[in-house]
Amino acid sequence: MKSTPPPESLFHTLKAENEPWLDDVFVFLPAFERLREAHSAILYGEVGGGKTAMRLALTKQENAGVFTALWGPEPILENPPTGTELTHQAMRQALSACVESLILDGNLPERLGEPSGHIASALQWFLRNCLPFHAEFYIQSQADRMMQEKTLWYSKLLERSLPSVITEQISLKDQIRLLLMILKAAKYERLWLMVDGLERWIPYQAGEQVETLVDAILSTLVIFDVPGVAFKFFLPASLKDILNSTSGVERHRAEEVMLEWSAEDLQAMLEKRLAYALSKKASLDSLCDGNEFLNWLKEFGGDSPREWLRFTAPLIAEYQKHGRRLTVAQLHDFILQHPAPLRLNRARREVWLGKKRISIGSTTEFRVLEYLSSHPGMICSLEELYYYAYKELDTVPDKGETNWVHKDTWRGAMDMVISRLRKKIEPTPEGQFYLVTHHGKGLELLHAEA
Amino acid sequence: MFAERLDDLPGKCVFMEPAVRGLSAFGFAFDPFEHLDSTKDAHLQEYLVIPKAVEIALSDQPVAIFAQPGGGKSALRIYASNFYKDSRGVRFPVTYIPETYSTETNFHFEGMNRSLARAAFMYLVSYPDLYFALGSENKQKLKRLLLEIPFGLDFNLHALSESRFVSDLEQALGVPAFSGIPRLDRTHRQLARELEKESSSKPLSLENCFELINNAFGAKSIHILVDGLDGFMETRSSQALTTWIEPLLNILDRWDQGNNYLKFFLPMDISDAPALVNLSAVRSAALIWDDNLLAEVVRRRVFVASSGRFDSLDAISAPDVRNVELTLVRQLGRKEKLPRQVIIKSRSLLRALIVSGKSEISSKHLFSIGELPYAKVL
Repeated sequence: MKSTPPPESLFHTLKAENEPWLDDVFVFLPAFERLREAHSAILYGEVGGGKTAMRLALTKQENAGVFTALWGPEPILENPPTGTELTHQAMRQALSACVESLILDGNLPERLGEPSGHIASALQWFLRNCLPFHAEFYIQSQADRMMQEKTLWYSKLLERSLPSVITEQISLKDQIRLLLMILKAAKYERLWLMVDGLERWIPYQAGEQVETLVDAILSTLVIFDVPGVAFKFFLPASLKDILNSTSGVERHRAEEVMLEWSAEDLQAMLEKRLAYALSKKASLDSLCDGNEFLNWLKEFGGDSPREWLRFTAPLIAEYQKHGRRLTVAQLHDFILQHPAPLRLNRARREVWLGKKRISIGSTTEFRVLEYLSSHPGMICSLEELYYYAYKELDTVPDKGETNWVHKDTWRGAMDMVISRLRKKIEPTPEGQFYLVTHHGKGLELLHAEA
Repeated sequence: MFAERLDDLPGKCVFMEPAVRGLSAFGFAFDPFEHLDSTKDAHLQEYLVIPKAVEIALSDQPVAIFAQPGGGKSALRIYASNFYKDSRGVRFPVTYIPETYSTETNFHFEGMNRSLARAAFMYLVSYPDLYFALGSENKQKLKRLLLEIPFGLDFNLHALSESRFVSDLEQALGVPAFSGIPRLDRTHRQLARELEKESSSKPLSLENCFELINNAFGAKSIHILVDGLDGFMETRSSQALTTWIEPLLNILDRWDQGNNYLKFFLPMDISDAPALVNLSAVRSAALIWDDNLLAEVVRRRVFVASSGRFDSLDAISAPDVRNVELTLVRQLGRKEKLPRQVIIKSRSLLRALIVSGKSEISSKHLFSIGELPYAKVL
């Protein structure tokens, strides 16, 4: 019998990898059907959009004869190659990932039993040539992740004297065919190579290299397009424009699919989790009266499942605290106490409340928020804000310095800026939920996120 | 609308393409628009439409066929290979698709040697008795030819002895068999043993291999189908591509005299390259499509997939919907008038039909797919 996790787990755990209950709460979007088809595909989605959940759900088809291997491309830091050599290095990474997945998840000892000579020989070749370190050592190092019999099976295989596989002249495409031969012997019909995890590199310089790597693979997909093999890319939407011009996309060798959530899909996703965590009949209506919360989610959660989950988590805690559903008034208070996080995109000079973009017209207003958000938990004086926003100074000049301006000159302008900002970001006209005035001291920005 | 759990998905137990599940209700035995890549399409031979101009691809002479990406080059190449295979090797096909890029002088010839070794091995697997009837010199030469086979001959002979199905070898070597025998049997194991016993020295040169194929297999001509040359980043420009294939162009005349014909399947951009235009030994043609031919591409697929029950999507359309294929073709932009594009269109149309839950194609289906991105159709 399954043990029900605490409700907050289903709403706080925002990474699909950490969700053992994913099967029970997974929502089938049209994009999922597209990915299930046998050909290569690229799923584009925003961070937190559910790409990894889609990948994990696809992997569940393993029983149907599809072996899925996960490859997280790594940047090539030393003397990064170009052209075909870059593609080759990328594919070598991919093959290595396939072999590791095969050892850990392929269940080969059971599926192959006592393999015939050529299959054992091919597998031995992959173990010796495609693992990150010495094959015997690798197998031993995975002992805690594999049953003892499996470790023994691999160790025995490595000790066997087998006909050699000559691979001096063979291409990577031939190596893929050889791998398929093993898979076929193990009763797998297809190999799906899942390419995921690019987000971890994108904020860094190496991100560019990983993008180039994926670009190289997509540009030369025709070379590796072996019947029975499909590439399933799970990529950030920001890469769509870059990869659009690769021949793999242009020639439809990999079909592009956008991961899009409608409000109905998102509501279904929340309610599946509520039903799983609380009771079969639980829905958003069970938590609170009226439609205000749903409308608020639509406004500030956008089309991001991660945001919808995150915004709902405190409501569940509140519901459990009260022991019954919240009234309209209670819900209203709750929303004011848990406003959507304020985020700045410095590069694009954008201000966001959750997933809602706020129109900030003037540079001065943006700089006020920028200064406050870079001093979290601190009260900033109006002087600091003025000199940063208007004079682009990081510190307040001393009286007598050239840049120093008498307070009477700027005080009115600053009050106007603060007032305009409040109108744009505060949930109520009189409220101070984000921009809080500490009389005689200055301003503090609350609910801001880096 | 949502399955309750992932385990409830129909595909969990029996893998079936999602589209096929819906298409069967309309009388299709399989999805005729599933494959955009002809190398993966098992039904290609049954429904390929070949424009008259490129029928020269099947003739006994060096040929260059030009086409746009998605214009059907690879499909024609596969069709040609299957056409030659039906001659039981009298016109012996060898497919050469470079799997890496190199500017080494002998790169293409070494690659062809390996392709020839793959083809010869699969020919022997297809007609194993032929080997036993050969004289000792040819047997020995065959072993020398087979030394170039990927993974090594030893490995392949083990695979031949231990595998049960010809398809296992086809998949590993990427070459289809020449005959329709599905299973490997005692004769194949004997072939493996005899080849293993046979002594060998160094590999044969490519031209000696041609001679051996003629003598040992009774081939009257060898057709080397060269494709996939523009798949590399280094060969995207027509200049770079021309330079890369120059060693092959230089040898055309000599090979032609021995009835060994090179057949190039090349991108259209290279069609006016002087190195090709000035070659009198090569006949060239372009794969060009008009609206009627493209409509025929769809109709043939419909006919085969419906097991001959109907030959037009009109048969599953509302009474006021006529000429579905031509309508689809006419929705394509000028530069999109290619088989791949009309196949995508047809696929989108059928999927829109399935998703709508209707029993026939309506005007709304036909005219809305032009405006919707493919993924949105579902």
